[in-house]
Amino acid sequence: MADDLSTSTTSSVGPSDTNEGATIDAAKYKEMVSVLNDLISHNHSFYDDYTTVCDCQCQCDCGRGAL
Amino acid sequence: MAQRTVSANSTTYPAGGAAAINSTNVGDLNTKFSSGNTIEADHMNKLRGMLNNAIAHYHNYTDMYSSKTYGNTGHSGDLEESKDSTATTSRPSDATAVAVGEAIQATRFNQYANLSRFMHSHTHSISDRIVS
Repeated sequence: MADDLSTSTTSSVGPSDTNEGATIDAAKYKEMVSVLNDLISHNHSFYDDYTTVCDCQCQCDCGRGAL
Repeated sequence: MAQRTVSANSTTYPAGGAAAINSTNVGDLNTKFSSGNTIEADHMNKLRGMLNNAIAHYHNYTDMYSSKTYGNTGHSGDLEESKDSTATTSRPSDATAVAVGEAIQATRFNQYANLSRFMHSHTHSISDRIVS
């Protein structure tokens, strides 16, 4: 069974957690916005399994006579 | 059995308007979250709406389930269908809203931050059809 998971990683990682009483500056919010910006055009590659089938349609009707 | 790598054809974010993941809303938030500005509940809730929209997104892709080769005619054809992936795998709960007048505490900020870190590196699963 193929792995059908695909991870997409944005260049922005998002802010780290803050502690009670710590100052949250604008830059930490902008880190969240930066992740959202990266998501506008992100993509994934999926691993897609499939079978291969030879659907032969040979209809030989050679009239070359008997050997 | 064979395997290929296929990129998603499109991305769907369920919500539009102020929660849409687009450059207009990103630009708006970057303006609001500028040094010296007062952060209002409205700003936080716009960020919340976009984060919740982001974790619910999914992709459309082409699932090939069989590749046919016709022996003596030179023709071949793939059997495939258009399908959607799941939304993000193992996603956290939605971020909660901020009320007007409510202080933004560390726990609320961390809830939002956790969603953005989750989206930094996220996955989807697909139901891979394989039929001969």
